[in-house]
Amino acid sequence: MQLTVKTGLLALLWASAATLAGCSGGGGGSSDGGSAPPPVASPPPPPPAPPITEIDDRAEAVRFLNFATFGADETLINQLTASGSASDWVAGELAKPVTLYLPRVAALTPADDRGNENIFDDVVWQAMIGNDDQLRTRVTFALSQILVANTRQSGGVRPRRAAFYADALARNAFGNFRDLIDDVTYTPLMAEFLTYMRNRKGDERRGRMPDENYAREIMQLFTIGLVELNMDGTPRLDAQGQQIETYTNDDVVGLARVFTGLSERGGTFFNGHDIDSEYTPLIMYDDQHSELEKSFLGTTISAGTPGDESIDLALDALFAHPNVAPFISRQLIQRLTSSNPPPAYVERVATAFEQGRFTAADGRDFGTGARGDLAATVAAILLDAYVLEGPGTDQQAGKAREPVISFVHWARAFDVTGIDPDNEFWLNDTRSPTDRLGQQAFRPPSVFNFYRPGYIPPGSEAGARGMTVPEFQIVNSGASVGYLNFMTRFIFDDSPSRERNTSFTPDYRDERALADQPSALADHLNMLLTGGRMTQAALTDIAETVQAIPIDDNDPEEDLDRRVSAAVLIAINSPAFRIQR
Amino acid sequence: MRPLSRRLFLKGMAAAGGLAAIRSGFLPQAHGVETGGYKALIGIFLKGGLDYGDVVLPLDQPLYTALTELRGDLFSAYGSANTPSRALDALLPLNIGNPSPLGGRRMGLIPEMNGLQGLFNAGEAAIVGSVGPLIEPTTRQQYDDRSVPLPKKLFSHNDQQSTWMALDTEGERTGWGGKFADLIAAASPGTPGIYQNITVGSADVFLSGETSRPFSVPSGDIPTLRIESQRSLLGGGQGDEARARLREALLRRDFGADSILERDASAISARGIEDNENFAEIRNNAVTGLTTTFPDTSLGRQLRSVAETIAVREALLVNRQIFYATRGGFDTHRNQANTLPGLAREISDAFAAFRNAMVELGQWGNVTVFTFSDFGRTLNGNDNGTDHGWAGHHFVAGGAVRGGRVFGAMPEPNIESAFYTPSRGRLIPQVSVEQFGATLGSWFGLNSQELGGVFPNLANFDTANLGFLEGPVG
Repeated sequence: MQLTVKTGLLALLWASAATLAGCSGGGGGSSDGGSAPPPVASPPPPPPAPPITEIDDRAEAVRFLNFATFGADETLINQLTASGSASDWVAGELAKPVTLYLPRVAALTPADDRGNENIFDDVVWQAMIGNDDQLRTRVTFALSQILVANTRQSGGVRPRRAAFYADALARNAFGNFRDLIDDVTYTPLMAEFLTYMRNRKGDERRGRMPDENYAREIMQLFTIGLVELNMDGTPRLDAQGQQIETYTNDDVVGLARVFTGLSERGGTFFNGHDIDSEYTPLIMYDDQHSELEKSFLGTTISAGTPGDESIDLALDALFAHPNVAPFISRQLIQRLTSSNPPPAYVERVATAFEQGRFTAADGRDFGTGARGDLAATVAAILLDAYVLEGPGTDQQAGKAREPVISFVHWARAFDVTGIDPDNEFWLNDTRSPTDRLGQQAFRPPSVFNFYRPGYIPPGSEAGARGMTVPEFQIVNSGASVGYLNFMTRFIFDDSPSRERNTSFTPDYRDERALADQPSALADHLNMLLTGGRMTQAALTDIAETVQAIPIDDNDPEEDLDRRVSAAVLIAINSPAFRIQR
Repeated sequence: MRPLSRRLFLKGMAAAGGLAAIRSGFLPQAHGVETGGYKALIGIFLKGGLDYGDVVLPLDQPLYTALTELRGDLFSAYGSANTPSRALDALLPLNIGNPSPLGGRRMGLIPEMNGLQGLFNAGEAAIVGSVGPLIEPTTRQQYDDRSVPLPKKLFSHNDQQSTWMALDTEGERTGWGGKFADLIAAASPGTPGIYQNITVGSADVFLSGETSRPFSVPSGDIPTLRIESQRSLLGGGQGDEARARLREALLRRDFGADSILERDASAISARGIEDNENFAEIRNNAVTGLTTTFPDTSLGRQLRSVAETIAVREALLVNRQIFYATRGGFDTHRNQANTLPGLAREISDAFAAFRNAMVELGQWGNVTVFTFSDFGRTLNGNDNGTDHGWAGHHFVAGGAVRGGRVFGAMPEPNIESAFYTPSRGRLIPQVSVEQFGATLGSWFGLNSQELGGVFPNLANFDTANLGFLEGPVG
């Protein structure tokens, strides 16, 4: 089985290398070569297609940036259009230094205090809207939905503890997956969230067994998943056509012994920890770590192995599992570019994860060559034909946008001034589906995130075709008015705030200039927000609504604003905005 | 009461045949579902896995002691300051009217559940013990040998939630609540059916049918478009034309998109706006006069929404409804003594308030409330919490419930016995989710053939009806 897959992959790579060679040959070569001339003039050979990584115009730039960032803005659109290369852009983003969360959170938090509950969330909004390293920030958000911890659900409000977890994701976003799961395992936030903080070895006398929570979820959700997978992310089937479960309950019981003995540094295992300990890695208290043999997934860690070494061996074993590449790759694709990725796309990305290397269509190499390289994986996701060639006639292609990203995109596209989330009452908590966004970054309802990667929406065309659309678990009918009303508040600069009209003020100058040309305004928004993907129906809706708003010649300012705001509201509700293709 | 809008009036006209039939108590019975009168099922999903063992406890000293020995640290935690008592004499005795299934053993509820104790002892609530997913009856030996087919992905939250709601693991698209609604809708031609299955909690698979889909009722005001209610945004009366055109844009379903997701996105959005507006209009117009006070808790607010919706059932043109409420926080791996008691009180108080509201509306005899959950939890503790299990005990309440009794089984707390899987004491189901659901469905009006269609493994069990609801038991 394994051999077949590898052979297939080699063939695939060979084929794409051949294609590349053909492309880079350029148009200069004469093809006569002395052989018999054709009797009739054949049409001239088509000019060689440029590599798909080439960005030809603003429309392509916007489409690409909407996948790779929290939404295209004028600056990025101009930069990418000028450079003309998606591959260069990705390489540039990979090279940027990480913008860490902790220093920003710490700057807002008194040294001797655990801090205000909203501080971390405020910094997250600022990062998504304003960070220069947009790709890393976007991937960090994606990882926060795979290695999930809710930053507020875990024993008190600790903004620095949350930031330390976010930094573990951000620092490793372009690093190696093995380091990522190591760092996350040792974050105090994850340990509180999945209850292995101060998890004690078993004690039969007290009827006590180690807490199984992390052992189960790190396998099910963070590394290998429940069933064996092919490289293309589809389940492997046994001779009876049944899926093959990756682990049994005995594996959970065995692995649970590994995650015992961890607690915060300073003080003792049980208490006495200072504030600093919440944003430094956990340490092992070996006297609380299980001395028993730990047996799981065919790996046995012998009795008496110390705690840190046990964790190292266990994470090695999980990382070595062949499921990791397709399991993680498919979910990363879903967070960035496709709600229902075709298996061949998953396989291409999983191959980059497995080989630690990705070669783009223009010949640029990404990655270190080490298995689990996330830079190679991310490059493979974004520089794939699925993204760069567009959907063509594939009606299934596309990604439903997450409400948080839709809002942040609005803020970026209209370059809001005063990115001061603390002033905005509603940004403290955007989770309600009935009057907010139904989602808030880093605050999913459980370790199962806001939605499930395998969610197939009932009562929909996508569902009837068996397509997964995780985002439709929260972008549903019960949330549609909430989304529109939330966006209405911000679009009309009418959001409830501590000091009115001092934050999140959109800059509509470009749009105001077009407010008396309804069709031009519609076209402008179409390009800015969707890369020209709106249908004529949506453009007509915008133009006719704008036209219907009268302009008082004596006092046109307010009416011009109304025209722009109404147009933007229709645009952000249009299917071309809510779905990316 | 202001006059109905044109939009609603037209909808009402279209459904007038259905409405008249409902009022007179008759409906065409195309598929045999019994749809006379009004009936509602209300399912409360306890997300994370309710620890049945920390809710219903043995009152006989040796068994109580055995339980404390299995969960020493947990009971110690309860004994400390700031936690409620789990002392034997603090438990609330259940007057069990059918003691024989327990061999005469006595059981009690924790002190936070005095509301449910009252309902149980008044004969208005029952407990279904050891219920969980099964393909066929399964003994411990068969589990150990894997000699019978077992439900897939046991002990996994999302998959067992899906299995309880939809009889298969995550990815299954139709739940048994939704399938009940499909059958009701098929038997009630001419009724709109939009408000037949209603979630007041999260949007989960339980209420999704082949044709029916859930409508979401929030706990507070029903949201409608701000762009219309806040008229100044488009310039008051000056903006009427624009407002109308904008409304048309926001309600557009057909954009001519060549993308499945885009077509779905516009349909979802438009449907949400329309259904909310209609529902808001009906609920705001109807005078419910409901005076029962509900606790200001998540479940209290959700069940108040259910009661308010039941109060306007005639205006909604439905006479069968399935409601779904959810409460999270039951995944008590840790700090169980600090979290579960409050959740248990919330459940119990919400049941009690809902009962009072239904009595006030004269509908208590027509509603059945039940709990369900991912799974039970391990009988032995992990320090101050418990881990994922399999079967659990659940509550059913309503005027039609054969209350004051225990159905299914409540084995003694002995993890070496045949009722538990080895090592952690995960309770093996003695009755299946399908039997539990079929009993509810039978009372709801589905016949045995229909129940067999909804519950594919029902025939593997010796009875399709656990008998906890009035009506023929077959």
